[in-house]
Amino acid sequence: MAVTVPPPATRRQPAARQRPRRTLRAGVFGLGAALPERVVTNDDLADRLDTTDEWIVRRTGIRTRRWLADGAPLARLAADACAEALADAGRTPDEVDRVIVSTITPDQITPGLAPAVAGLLGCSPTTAAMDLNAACAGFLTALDEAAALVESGRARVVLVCGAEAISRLTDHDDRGTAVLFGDGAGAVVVSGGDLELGISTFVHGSDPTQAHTLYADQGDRVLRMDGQTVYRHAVARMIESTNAALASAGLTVADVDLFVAHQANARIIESASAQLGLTDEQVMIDVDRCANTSSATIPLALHRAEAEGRLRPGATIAFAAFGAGYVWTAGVVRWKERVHVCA
Amino acid sequence: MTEKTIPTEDQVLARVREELVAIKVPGAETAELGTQWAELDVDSLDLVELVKALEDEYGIQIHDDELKPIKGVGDAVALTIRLAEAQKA
Repeated sequence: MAVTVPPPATRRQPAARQRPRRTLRAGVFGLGAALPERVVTNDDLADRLDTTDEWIVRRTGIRTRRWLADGAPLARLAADACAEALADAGRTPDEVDRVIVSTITPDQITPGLAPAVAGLLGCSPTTAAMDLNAACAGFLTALDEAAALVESGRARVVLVCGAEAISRLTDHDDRGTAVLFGDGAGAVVVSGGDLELGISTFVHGSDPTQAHTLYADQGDRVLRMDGQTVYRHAVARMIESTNAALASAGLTVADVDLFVAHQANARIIESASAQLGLTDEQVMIDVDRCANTSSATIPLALHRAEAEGRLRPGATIAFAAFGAGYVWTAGVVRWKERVHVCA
Repeated sequence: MTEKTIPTEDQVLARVREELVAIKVPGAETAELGTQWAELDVDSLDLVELVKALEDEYGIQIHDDELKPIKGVGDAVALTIRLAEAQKA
């Protein structure tokens, strides 16, 4: 097919034809999730590693995780999560302007997952599709990117998906890390509307000086971590960024209906929550069910919260995530503030 | 800001026991200065939580590279007192 690129002058819209601007805020309009069928219990792991269910639960809070079957495509799981999110938002695949998939475990080094996901969903050939890697903070980073695209008018409907098969990056013989990770996918539909809060402006940070404490090399392709250092920095950064995000949105801890943090370890979440002054009722824990699925943990936790009746439209959610880099981000979202009222 | 006093060995030991009990370390009530983490089944994340509690209690800051050499109760108590003294000086 012949493709011609128009000269710059014709690509710019004349000022007179621009629609008058009104306040448009991005919000979340739909949610979906998908988990692989295979459930791996702590007892399953104790059969071949020098560990026990009690040891794993006390140190991590993890009870089960899901693993994708060998050779099964992660793109399919991601597409299933996205399809559910679109249906939940009352949107069809041809309305999607952009698909952003956060992942550190694409099916191939390149291409990324997003084009395959867009194809599986049946999106239009004009749909932009891209992967994003901000490690465990990837889903929230992508959510913030999607909100910026919607609010700038560059996109109307954006699918944001966190999809990971961390079992592919796990040293299954190391009892210290083999128990920690799982696979899964979750997605939200971001669009715009005349919203009060929608998706607030997220706060971000990065610190490459600690990169050596949490990484996977191209060589052995398994995750290595200095858990003690990661734990310390994760708690401190999540507290600091959550407080900054709340202040930026003009809110306090008392306004938070649910705190949904990256689910790496129950103790990190409990420690950060306690220091933020949150009660147990305000804090979502899903690491017991899915373990650490990197950038998929947050949408998976949201999906569980909805299913358990802990998350309803209009709820104020504080989000925080921290991951390899280090990178971290936090923000506030009014959940499905006005369902099905999109720009 | 109130004048900080340097805590005694007994005071820090009591605070260490209290925090280890709070994070549900078995046998923490009877921990002594000579007790090593291996005897108490204190793992690396327990130590982070203990250190945070000591930092908050005594207004000190324990850096990442000072964490790993803390092998037991005595190391934690001695480091806390040393940092509290350095801060007052």
